[in-house]
Amino acid sequence: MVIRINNFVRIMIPFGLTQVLGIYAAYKFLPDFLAIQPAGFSQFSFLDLIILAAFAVVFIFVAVRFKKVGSVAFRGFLALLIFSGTQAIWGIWFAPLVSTVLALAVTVLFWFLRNVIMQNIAMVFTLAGIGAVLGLSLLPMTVIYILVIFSFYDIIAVYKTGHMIKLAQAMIESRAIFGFVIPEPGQTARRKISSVTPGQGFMILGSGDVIFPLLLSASLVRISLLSAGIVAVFSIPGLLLMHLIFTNQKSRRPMAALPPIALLTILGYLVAIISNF
Amino acid sequence: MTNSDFKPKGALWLFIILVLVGFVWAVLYFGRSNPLLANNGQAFSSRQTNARQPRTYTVFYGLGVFSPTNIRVHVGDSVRFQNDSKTPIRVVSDSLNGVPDLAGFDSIGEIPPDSVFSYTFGQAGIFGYHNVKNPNEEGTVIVRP
Repeated sequence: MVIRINNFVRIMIPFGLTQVLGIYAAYKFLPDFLAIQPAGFSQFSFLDLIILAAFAVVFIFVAVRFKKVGSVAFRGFLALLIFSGTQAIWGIWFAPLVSTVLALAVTVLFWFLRNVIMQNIAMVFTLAGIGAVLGLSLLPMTVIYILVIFSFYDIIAVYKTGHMIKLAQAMIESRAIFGFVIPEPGQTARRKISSVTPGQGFMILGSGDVIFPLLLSASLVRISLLSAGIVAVFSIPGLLLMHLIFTNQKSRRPMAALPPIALLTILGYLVAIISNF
Repeated sequence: MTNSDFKPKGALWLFIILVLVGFVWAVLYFGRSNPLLANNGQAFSSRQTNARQPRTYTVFYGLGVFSPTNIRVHVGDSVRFQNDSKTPIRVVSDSLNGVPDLAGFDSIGEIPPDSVFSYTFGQAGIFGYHNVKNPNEEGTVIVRP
């Protein structure tokens, strides 16, 4: 079995930073969320799911089929996400006007610098901010069901239909990468995003693989900060399991990263429940 | 991708999904004994609608953390703050401009290790508290009508 510790540490740092910042953000946002009832799975109707699925199908179809439109949509959507996520995080420390200006500055810097380090810094802020807000809006059990459903979906979308890979390729071509770009040893984080090719000195960890464990931790902040921490800590061995599967593939190719991460994240939740933390 | 290449990978993912489902079942099973941590919406609504007797909840303090950090109770319920650490603590209400959020809440003296301070919440609201020895160690009690 091959273990590339150096590669794993490079993935773990932005992943871990996002989890820690996300939990801290959720803890700080909590007073504003206490009056809001978190959403249970039963509150979503069948029609809601159909609309969500239809939106996803149309988005994927347009992005893959009409590359120019898809490229603009990806870039616009990514800019919106970066602005929203970073604005939420800056809002912890600064007044609304200042945090909005700072968020705008990060978004502008992101598009002008377009290098790996800026991509990853922006993603840590974006995913932590969005994950904290979304997580606080959901019940832990709802997030558990979401983790299982999306893990199953990830496997189907990568290995059966392959549309996840096409979608990722379309995003990389449009230079709007929803995730972390991890330079392998020998590569520099100052490289321009336009020169990044996955599998050739760089790995990409999708935003979903980072934000889903954070959703569970953030939803638990309402109940117990310690439990949220336990879940975040367990997600790290989940990341290691994902990395082991990835590095031990016969030929290097994209893989479904969420299932192993979700597996250990849910195990962390189970440990928190049994330990009564 | 060849067939011989796919089969073990398919088995691996099937195994992961099965274990995932097993963990969810375990969460539902063990969550029954810890409804606060494993609440599923029903716990929220049933607590709101049923006529109920006052209950006593416990907040444990250890390793510099109050757990659960945020606890939901109803008016008339009591919360016991149990000091499981090796050092004494003093639990007091958060305050704004020197006015405590909840007058009368503060523990009169220090809570020694392995001791308990109990308080019955008589009014609805969201009350923050902290350990005087280290104001960063804080928690919240959400008291519903």
